[in-house]
Amino acid sequence: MPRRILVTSALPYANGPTHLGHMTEVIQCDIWVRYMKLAGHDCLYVCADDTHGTPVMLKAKAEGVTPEALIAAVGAERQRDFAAFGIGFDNYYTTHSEENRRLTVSMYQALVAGGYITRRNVRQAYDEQAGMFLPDRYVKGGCPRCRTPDQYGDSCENCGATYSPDELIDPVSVVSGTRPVLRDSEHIFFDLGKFEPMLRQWTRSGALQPAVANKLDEWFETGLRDWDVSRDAPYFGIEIPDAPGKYFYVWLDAPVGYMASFENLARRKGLSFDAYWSKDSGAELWHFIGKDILYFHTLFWPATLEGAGFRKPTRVHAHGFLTVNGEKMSKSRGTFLTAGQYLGALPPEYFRYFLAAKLGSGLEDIDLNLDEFATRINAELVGKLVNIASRCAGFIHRGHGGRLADALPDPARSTASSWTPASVSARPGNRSNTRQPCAKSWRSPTAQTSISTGTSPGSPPRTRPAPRKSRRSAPRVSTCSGS
Amino acid sequence: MIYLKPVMPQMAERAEAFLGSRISSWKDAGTPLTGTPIGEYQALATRVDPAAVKKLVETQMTETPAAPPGKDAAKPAEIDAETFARMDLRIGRIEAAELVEGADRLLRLTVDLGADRRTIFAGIREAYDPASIVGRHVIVVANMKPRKLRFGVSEGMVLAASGESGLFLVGPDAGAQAGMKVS
Repeated sequence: MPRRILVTSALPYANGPTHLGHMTEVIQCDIWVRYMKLAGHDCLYVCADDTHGTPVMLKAKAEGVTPEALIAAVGAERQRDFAAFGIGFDNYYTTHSEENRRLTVSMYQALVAGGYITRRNVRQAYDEQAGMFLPDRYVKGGCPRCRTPDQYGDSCENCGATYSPDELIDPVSVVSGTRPVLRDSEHIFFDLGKFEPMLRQWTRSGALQPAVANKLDEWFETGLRDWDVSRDAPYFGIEIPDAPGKYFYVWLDAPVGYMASFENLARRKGLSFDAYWSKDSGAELWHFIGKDILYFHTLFWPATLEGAGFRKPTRVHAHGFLTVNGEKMSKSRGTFLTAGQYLGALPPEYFRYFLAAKLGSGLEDIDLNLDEFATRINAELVGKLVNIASRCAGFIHRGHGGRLADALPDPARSTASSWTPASVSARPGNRSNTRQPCAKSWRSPTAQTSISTGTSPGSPPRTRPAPRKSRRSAPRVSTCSGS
Repeated sequence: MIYLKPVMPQMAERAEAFLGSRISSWKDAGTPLTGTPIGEYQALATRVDPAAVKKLVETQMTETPAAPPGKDAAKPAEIDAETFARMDLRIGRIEAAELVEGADRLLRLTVDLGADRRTIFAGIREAYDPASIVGRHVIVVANMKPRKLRFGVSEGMVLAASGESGLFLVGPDAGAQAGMKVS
């Protein structure tokens, strides 16, 4: 029976160019979705730009444009890059949309009604010159432990200590360069702790990879803290209805962007929103994410969905980071490759093949070693798979009138099979792995070559009688082409 | 090819055209294609040119540090004398310059800094013929953190001016000696 599946990949943040890390995630997700569609399932893939928050606001200010103009420009470039890599979204939207505002506000109101929202004062760094509260990363100063200068307000890159911005030695605001003061402001909190029993159960329901479920156990041990979901103006985001001058923290409205993108699609296609999102929905909901945003997707997100009366994700599938030649992608280390740089040098589908051949089902990082990249493309894809099609085409045209044989002379020796990858065959809870199909794509036709020839595959076809020619060629071409 | 259709949808379409048969379901992989005419073979995929891969490495190694995204448009922030003093600028004399195989922007320079001798990879190949710069004095950032490139370790940075009209090495007036401090 066909499954009904809604799939999302994490919403890329709208403050910079698309890099190969973004591409790794959407390609993994796109391959999975394309497989599901090909296997006859009713599968939809939605995504959006994540547009709100302080970084977008300040970046727009630095460039002298409005945040709306910035996110429009980034969004257009992003969609161009995704299209170039063949990503088949059913909908790509934005969190800066009316659907998202309405859904976020109504979820918040449901959480208030459910008694999951509290308020209390918070003391926070404030930039008097810029007239704004400063998120931790917008305060820099000396590490209070090892005294290394120029460290962020939340942790030290040198010694790894974590602390709050007011502990920094000689703190300065990144925005204005002045020394911040501490000010009180009332913040709004989501009571995550109330959802612990539900989350503990959901964690072990097959919704997560084992390594992730173990990680969550550590978080349960540490205790679930209230989540601060408000930010003071100026902030680029969605204003909180019962708290003028306060906005929803971007991480509250970003995952709601999955729903908003789907709602936008549903309206155009005449689909039922409730069929996918209501508590008793029979559809599956799969989120593909990077391992850096697990906390948001495996704790906050299912808890807010539950609290607001919606269904929970069927499965959250996390992947590792992309490294380049063994190094973390980093602007300062020069191992930061954008989608545009790649497209200027190499065909996009080769990157898709390389990733598919490398991706496992776990959280391990994936290394883009460029020597290995060339080897895999040239030896596997071109040398094995494509080469067979090209050689056989010659035989079939010269010796058999350009027509495949009517029947296999010995069907038992055919490697054609409707094999289903174990990785994707089963119900939720199973692994997502694309290595097998890739290897099989060239292993089975090459195996066929040796079975069916018995002699060197390059022997000239004219030395053999016609029936044997077709017998050799037909199965080989048919399996490598697969149809 | 059916196995690869989700991975390489465009290549799959080319294969479909070649075989005159559409892949409509994963299950098609269980049925050998028989008794149908095939089209003229056209390249489904071609080999990766190792030079193209290297070009990518080079873009990554040379462009990115020079122009961090988002920073170039903004006016550089002010710095104090202390920050400037952290930079150890020295006069260097280029003793040797060679082309780097596989890197069409880089030259490998051997630079005499008085006290020691450094290997520096500089992105100046488009502007200078290696032989023409041997013997020249240049300004070198001597305490630059060594950078591991694909072609070796670069132990410093040579200063050059650049703009729309090209790229120009920066040097001292006559009389300056290798190793002198620049401040």
